[in-house]
Amino acid sequence: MRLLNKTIQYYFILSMVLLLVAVPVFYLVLRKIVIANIDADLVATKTQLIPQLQVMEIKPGAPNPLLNNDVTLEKSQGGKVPDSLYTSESHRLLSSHLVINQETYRLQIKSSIANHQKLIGSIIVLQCVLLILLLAGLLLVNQELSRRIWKPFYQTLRKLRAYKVDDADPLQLGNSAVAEFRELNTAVEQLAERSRKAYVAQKEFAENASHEMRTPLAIFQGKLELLMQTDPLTEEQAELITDLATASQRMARLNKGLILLTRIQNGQFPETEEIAVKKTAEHLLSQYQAQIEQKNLQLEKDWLDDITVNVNPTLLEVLLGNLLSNAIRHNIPGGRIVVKLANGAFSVRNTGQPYALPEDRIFERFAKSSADADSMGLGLEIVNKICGLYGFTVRYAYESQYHSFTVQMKS
Amino acid sequence: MKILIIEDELALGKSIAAYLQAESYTCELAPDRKTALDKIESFDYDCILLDISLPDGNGLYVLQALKENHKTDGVIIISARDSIDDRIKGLQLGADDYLVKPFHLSELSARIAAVIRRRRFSGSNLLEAEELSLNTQARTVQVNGQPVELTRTEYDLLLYLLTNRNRVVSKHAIAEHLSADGEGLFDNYDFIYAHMKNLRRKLMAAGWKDRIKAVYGMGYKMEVS
Repeated sequence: MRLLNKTIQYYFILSMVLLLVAVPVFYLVLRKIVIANIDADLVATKTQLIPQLQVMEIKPGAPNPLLNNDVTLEKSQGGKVPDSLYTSESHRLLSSHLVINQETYRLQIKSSIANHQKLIGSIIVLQCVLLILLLAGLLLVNQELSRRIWKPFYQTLRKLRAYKVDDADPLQLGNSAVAEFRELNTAVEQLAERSRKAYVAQKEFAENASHEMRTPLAIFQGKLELLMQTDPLTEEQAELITDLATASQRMARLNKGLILLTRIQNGQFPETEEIAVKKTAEHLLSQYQAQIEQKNLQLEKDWLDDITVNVNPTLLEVLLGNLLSNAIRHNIPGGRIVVKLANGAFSVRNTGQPYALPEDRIFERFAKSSADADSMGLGLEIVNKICGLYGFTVRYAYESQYHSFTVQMKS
Repeated sequence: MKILIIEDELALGKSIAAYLQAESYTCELAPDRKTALDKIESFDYDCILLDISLPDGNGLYVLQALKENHKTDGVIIISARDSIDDRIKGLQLGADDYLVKPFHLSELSARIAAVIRRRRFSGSNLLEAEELSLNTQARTVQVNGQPVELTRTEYDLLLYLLTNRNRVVSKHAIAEHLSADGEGLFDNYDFIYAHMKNLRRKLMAAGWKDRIKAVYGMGYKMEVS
C-alpha cells in the first residue's frame, strides 16, 4: 500500500467516526437545548398567567379571554401537586395546580415542538451534508497535496532506479524545497558517490594490479626459457619446466582477459564501424580450423541471413571468438558445432558435457565449469560485457544434448 | 651485432641479454633513461629494446632523441602498457615494433631479427643455414637450391625456428606465434605437432637433413651451425 493511501485511510476512518458520533450527539444536544428553551417559555407564561387568573372570576359557560387552545383550566380534585413538565405527542406540556377561590384548578399550558423538530431535522441534514463535503474535500486536497509533496520522492526513486554504479557521472538528484527530501537526497547522493568511488578504486586496482603483474610475469617467462636452454636437461626437469610454462601462459592469458574487461568497462573502445557479422565469424572459423580438425569436430554453418552491426571491430572479434572457441574447447572429440545467423541473432550450438550449465552463474567472473581446469573463467563475462555495451542480449540454453549461446544483435 | 636493452627491471634485462647472446648479439644494458641517452649518443646499435616506463621518465623521449640525432637504429618497444594510444604514439615516433609484456624471449628474438633484416640487409633478404635458404621478401624456401612449397604456417614455423636456432623454443611460444592475432584462446598444443610433421616431411623430401629436434614435449630445437 502506498504511503499516500495509508494516510488517507486514517483520515477517512477518523472522519467516519466523527460523522457517526457527532451527528447523534449534536441532535441530542440540540433537542435538549430546544426543549429547555420551550420549558422556560412555558414557565414564563405560567408565572405571567397565575396572578391574572387569581383575580379573575370564573364564570362557567362563558369563555375566558385568558384561556385558549394552548392554555386550559379545569377543576381538579385532591391536594396540591407540584408542577410537572412532560412531552406528549408533538407537544410540550406544563401542568400546574393552583387555588382560585378555595377551589383547586389544574392549569395546563402546551407548546408545539413539531416546528422545532423540523428545524432540528433541517439543521442535522445540513450538518451532515457539510461534513460529507468537508470530508470529500479533505480527501481530494490531501491526495492532490500528497501527490505534489511526494513528487520529489518519486523523482529520486526514478533516478535511483536508472543509476548504475559504473556511470561516469555522479548521481544528481536535484534540490527539493522539503527539508526531509533534501536530506534524503543528500544522503542518497553521498551513498552513491561512495559506492562509485569504491567501484572506481576497485576498477583501478584491477587495472593497475594487472599491469604491474606483467613485468614479473615477463621475468618469470624469460627465466623459464633460459632454463629450457640449460644442458644437460633431463626429461623430469623438462616436464617440470613445461608445467611451469603452461601455468605462466595461463597467468598471462588471465591477465590479458582482466585488462580487456577493465578496458571495456572504461569505454576504451569508442570507435565503431559497420561490420558484417558473417564475415568476422567466417574469418575466425578459418583461424580455428586447426583446432576444429584436431578435435575431429563437425562444423555446420547456417547463414540464413547476414547482419551488419555498428560496433568496434576488435570487440566483435573478441565476442564471436570467445563463443566459438568455447564451443570448440568444451566440445567432446567427434562432436558437432552449429553456427547460425538468423532473425538478427548469432548463435553457436555445440555438443559437450551432458548436463546444463548453471544459467544464472555462467556470465559471472571465474564461474567456470569445474570439469575444465584450463578455462580461464573470464570469456563469458567478457561476452556479457560486450553485449551490454551494444545493447545485445545473450542467452544460454541446453536442449537435446546441445549447449547453445544466442546473441540477439537486432530485434 | 649490437643490441641496447633499455629496461629498468634488471632480472628481465639480463634474461634478454642471456638469450640473445646465443645468437652472437652483443648486448648492453641501460637501466634508466639517462644511461640510455648517453649510450645512444656515443654508439650505434642495430636494435634498441626500449621499455617506455622508466624510473626517470617516459622512454618515448629516447625515441625523440634518436630522431633528433638522425640515428637510424631499429627500435622495439617492450611495455607493460598496451593501449592502442601508446602503440600508435610509439610507432609514430619511429619505433619499428611494439611488444607487450609478458613475451616469450623467442618471440622477441624473432622480432629483433626481423627489424635487423629490414634495416640492415635492404636488398638482401636471404637467410641461410647450411643447405637451407629462405627469401624473407618473397617468402620462399630452397633446399640445396631446390624450391620447396610450404604453407604459410609452415613457412612461419620454419622462420621462427631458424631465427631461434640452437635454442629450445617452447611449444607455448610457437602456438602464440602461429595463432594469427596472438590471442592464444586454446590450451591445445597438438596442432603444432601436425604442422611440424608436415614441415619436416617436405624439407626432407627435398634432401634436407632433419635438424629439428623435439625436446621432451617441452618444445623444439633447430640445430644448425
